[in-house]
Amino acid sequence: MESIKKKINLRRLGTLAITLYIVFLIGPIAGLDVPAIAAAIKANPLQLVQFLIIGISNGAIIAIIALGYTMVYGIIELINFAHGDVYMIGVFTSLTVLSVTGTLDSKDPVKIILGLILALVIAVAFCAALNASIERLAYRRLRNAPRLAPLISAIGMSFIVENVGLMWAAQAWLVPSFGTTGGASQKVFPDMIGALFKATGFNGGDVNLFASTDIALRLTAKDVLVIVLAVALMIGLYLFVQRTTLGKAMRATAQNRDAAKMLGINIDWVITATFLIGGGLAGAAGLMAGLYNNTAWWFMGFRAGLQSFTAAVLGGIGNITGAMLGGFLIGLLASFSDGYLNARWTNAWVFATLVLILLFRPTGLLGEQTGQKA
Amino acid sequence: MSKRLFAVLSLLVIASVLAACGGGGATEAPATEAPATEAPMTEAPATEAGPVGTLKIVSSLPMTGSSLTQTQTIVNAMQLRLEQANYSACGGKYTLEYEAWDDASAALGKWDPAVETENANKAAADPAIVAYLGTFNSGAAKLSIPILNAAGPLVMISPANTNPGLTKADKDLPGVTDSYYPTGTRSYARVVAADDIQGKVAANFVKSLGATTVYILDDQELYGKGVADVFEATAKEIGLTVVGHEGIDPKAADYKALMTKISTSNAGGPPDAIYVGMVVDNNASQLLKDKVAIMGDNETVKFVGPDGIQTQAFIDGAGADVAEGVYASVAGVPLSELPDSGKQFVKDYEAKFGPLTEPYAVYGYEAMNVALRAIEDVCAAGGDPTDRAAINAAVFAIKDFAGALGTWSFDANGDTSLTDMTFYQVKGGKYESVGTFK
Amino acid sequence: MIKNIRTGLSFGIVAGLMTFLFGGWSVAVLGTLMGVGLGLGLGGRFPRKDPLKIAAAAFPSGLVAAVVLILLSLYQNSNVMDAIGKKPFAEDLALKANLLGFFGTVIFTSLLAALHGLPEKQERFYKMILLAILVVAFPFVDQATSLRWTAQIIFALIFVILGLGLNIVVGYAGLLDLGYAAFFAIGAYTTGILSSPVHSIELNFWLVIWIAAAMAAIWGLFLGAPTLPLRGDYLAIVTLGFGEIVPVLFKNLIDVTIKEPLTCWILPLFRIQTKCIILVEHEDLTLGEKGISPIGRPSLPLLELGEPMGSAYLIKLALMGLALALVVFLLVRSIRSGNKSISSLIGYGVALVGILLVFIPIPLTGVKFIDSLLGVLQPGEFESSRPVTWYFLIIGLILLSIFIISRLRDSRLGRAWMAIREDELAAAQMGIDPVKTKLAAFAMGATFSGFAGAFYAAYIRGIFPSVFDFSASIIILCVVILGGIGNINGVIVGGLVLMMADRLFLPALKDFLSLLLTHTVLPSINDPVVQMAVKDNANPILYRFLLFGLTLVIMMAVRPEGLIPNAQVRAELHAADEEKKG
Repeated sequence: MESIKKKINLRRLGTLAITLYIVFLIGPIAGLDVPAIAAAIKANPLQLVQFLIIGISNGAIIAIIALGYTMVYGIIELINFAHGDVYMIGVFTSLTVLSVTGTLDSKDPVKIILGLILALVIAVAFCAALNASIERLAYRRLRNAPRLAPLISAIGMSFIVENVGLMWAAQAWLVPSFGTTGGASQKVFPDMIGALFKATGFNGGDVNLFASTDIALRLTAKDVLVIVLAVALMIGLYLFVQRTTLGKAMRATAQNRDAAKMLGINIDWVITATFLIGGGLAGAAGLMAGLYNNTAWWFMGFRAGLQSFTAAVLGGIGNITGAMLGGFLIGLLASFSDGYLNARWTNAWVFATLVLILLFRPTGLLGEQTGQKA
Repeated sequence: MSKRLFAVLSLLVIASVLAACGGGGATEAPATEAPATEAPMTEAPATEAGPVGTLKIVSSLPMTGSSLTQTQTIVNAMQLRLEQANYSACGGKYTLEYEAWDDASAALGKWDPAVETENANKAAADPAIVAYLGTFNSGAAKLSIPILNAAGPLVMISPANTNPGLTKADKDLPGVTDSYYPTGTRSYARVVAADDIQGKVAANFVKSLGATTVYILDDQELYGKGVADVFEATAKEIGLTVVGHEGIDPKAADYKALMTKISTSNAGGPPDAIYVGMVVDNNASQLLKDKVAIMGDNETVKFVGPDGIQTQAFIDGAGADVAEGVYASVAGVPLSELPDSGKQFVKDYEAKFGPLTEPYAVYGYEAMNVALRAIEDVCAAGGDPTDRAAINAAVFAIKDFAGALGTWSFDANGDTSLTDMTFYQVKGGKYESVGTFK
Repeated sequence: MIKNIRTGLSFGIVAGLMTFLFGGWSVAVLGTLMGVGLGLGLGGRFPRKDPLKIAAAAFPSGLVAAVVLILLSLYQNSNVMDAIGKKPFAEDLALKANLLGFFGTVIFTSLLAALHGLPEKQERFYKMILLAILVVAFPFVDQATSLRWTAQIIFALIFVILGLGLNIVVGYAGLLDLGYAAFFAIGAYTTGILSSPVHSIELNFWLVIWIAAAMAAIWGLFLGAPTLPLRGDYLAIVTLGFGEIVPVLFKNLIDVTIKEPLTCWILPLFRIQTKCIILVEHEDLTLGEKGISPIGRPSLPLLELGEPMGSAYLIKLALMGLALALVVFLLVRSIRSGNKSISSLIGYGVALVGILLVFIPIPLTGVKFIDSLLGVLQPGEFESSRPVTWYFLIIGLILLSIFIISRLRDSRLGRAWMAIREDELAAAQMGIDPVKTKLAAFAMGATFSGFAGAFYAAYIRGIFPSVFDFSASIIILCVVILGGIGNINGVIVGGLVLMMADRLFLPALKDFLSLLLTHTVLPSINDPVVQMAVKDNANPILYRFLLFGLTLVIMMAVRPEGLIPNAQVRAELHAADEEKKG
């Protein structure tokens, strides 16, 4: 027995060594040039921290979107392709609210804060409603159909929502800052946090909290806001799912729909609630992304959706903690790839990670057996 | 029963074969049966003598997607020039028709290889067409030049292509440029200077701003990478330090990590300037936003780009205060320094279409100018203006042409002799000219 | 009866409204096509009896359709053209076109409906012949009527091949592949790299197309292998990932440097000095977004490019007749003898050769080596300005694909695919190796996209990575789903309908609407902001993704089996309904 175990270990080591060799051989094509990376880190170790900050902030947004994917998948085993686009609608909703309420041009800090809160509430409510109606219109009647059908319906829904975003971005009468350049081009999401700092004069009006110190780091109020908000949402969601009756009903439905039904749980309502919560999170992520990256674009949902789904799979789909972990990891991966590998290969690295995870650990990092049910 | 049916069937076969023959005949017939599906946009008033024929000019530009802001002004300018000519040529002997074709497809949201190929084929097949004004994207020109070259050749005049390889041999790709011209006769000319000039002038300009170190980014496209490569080569020649040159992913959500890397790339600090070889469609506004967020305003670290970002869409996308101080180069002189005919054009244009902010409109006007001049030259020499080869020769024969851009000539490759570059800077949310360079 | 008339009426209205967009000769072509569709649709409604009676019964609806069509078309020419500020079509030509449209509708409706009265075998046979005639005649009619639809049809046919290939993976084997455009890209790039002066390798197209197909198949195996343990949604996502990576790869492989890692840095890390081995340095493989162009085009020994003339034209016609007669003869014989396989193969082959050699215009002059034989033929290259040659090339490729795919479907492998689709576990128990079977599906599916890619690259003469992104994969999926999962005819119809709607109908509608608005509504709007808003939003191309999405969602909700379904798939998709009813 001992020798067999050793043999297996040796073989595993061998596979690992060969895989590593191939990665190191081919990797430099896509920027994975180990000596160069080592040299870059050595030359400026503080930058590593900087990339960490950027990665965590971006990862927080990805994690929030990933929660929506993972919850829906946990309950009805469907990849809600339209989810990323609901997030994009969240960006446009909050931008429109900010514009209509006149917050964009305001110099009054109270008004800015009130406007932002209003934008958050409306974006969350609108996206929650949108997500739930998508479920009602496109998925509910396909619940018992072969698995291909709802998936294709979801892709269709994603296209529809994307197109709504494209049309939205063309309505300059609604949001004057869209300009006359049509719906396809990127729209600016003004830097409201920066405006708030300027209006209050806090930290000398600079959003960078390290601005007045000697440390050559950039930790902006935006980073802090995004991370704090994301962690708060995650903890809230976690408590909700663990503690409340509805949360328990959700977990029960995820484990066994029929049994849950027998216990008197209203399955339709539980599923609707899941979509409502997922959509609301996407709406919040929309506002956060708008404030953080200052861009609204009809296509941003597609890319964000793919990355978030990857994050959900990475963490173990169906697992809420896993989605958060996955989101942060994907954010870090993207940021390190941008910084140390090569920006134009980042997307390929993200997907390569997805493929590798699915190959070697289909259940994800924290996944239970749900992955195999697929 | 089936026998009877077979008889009917055979009759039908014969009928369709006959129809096919008749069809073949119809295509051979000259333009009397001109396709009625495409009628002119505006009709010319008939002159007293009455025109004896129709000359058609088409443009092929991406009219779908985000280039529309620029291409619409080009089309407007072309129409303006035709209106000034009263849609007639050769002293009223010919009626001019103009159609603005779209070479973009909704599928791609930008120029589509399949659509551009079909446009070129359509133009080649219509004997009334004597000039093809386009394209906007150099990649598209690579597809249409050989098709039109084999069709007459039908002359192609571009208001916007800047890739040097279309007219001048690329030392890395020997023989490729010649392969665009299968007949051996050059049939492609452009009224705008190529990137090898733009990149060179830009490098000198960046040096003149007092910068000594520069980081180069490009969107990896034909135009963006092309101009960035020339910039890099020139920068090294004139003693600028190129800290790095990198391609970006035009669909990324943000570039903060990339900008952080750049911010310490120059021995721990940021470079003096960043040169971006990009068009606005490829996320240029986001790049600028993140650059300003990480490295501060455009005074501290200069942000310089080619004409691809010299459009209002770029400023709108980044926000006026973020874009403040950005430099962009455009071939030619600023509108205010155009010769009188150019100034007149700007005046006429603004009277008809509103304020002119896009730099390419005047090139559209000039391209149409060249086409009309060639037609008139052929007529004046007693030639037949429906003869495509004659028109092509007349275009290439244009020397010391007093057009809206100044007085200039085409060289044997079809490149313009005008190599002026104007730099613009964003001031208060608008591009304003800061000087002209050679 | 009323129902049939109503069908005729709705066909007539749709086709009539289409003439608003295209004008000119389109009424004749649309009439004929509508007649064929109407006839095919109506025929099935009658019991299989006397053809003449069926023809008579279908006649009224054909007549209604024809009358509605030409009424609308005449209205178009008299009023609509004015409204959109275009010159109306010359009257005598308009008359001819409308007459052709009228008779095309009536004759084809009755004729095709009548075919249903024949015994099933004969019906199929005559339908095939009629279809073949239409397919062959189309590009010539298109040329003669200057409609210029051939280029769009060629593009649609590229997507038909892609759909046929994807159908193997999705329809037969039941594996959802969301990155199929990657194989299209691999086929196209193989062609581009191997037949372009850019890399100084210029192989013949007829060789490259096979290499491209093989490359695509190999990559199908390569990308398929790791996904095999995954099922359903996971497979979809991983293929989507591949679909995203492959274009990025083609875009980024512009500066490839490979250094051997052991000698370059791993050993030096342990203080062992070695000489760094550099395998590849600064190699530009794909030229990135610049794209590879120009790309070599196919040539044929008996092809020339001049205009048809005089006696050569007659010889061409004679050859065309001979080839047709031969095809007919072979098909008749095969049906009579009941032994379809070999002779129908010959039939296909002859039809293909006949089409390629004979329908291409032959000049009198410029005679080369073959002149001692016929005195008219000479070798020539396919020109992109001559869509007819490309049209027949792609038709040939489609026939080849259909032939291979229908053989595969009925083979042991095909039945294994379907068994796996229905129940993988049960299939494995029956002795089917799921790994091999699935891999074969991926490889075979990819092969056809390799053909399509090679054709596309040569046809366009240039390739650019952005053509092959996610939306291309989704469009191919739409083709399969709209037409009918698992059904060859369905995929062909789906591809033609979807691509013609996308590349022909929507742009025409856009032009029509914008002209209509500029001549009617817009001048009466005073407020420039409203004017701009109306003008910008009345662009159907803006709603393109919406339409695609709606197609998918509605099809899934209403008719998940597609327009022309495969019986098995339909049964499976409606299993839930049956259970409910039962």
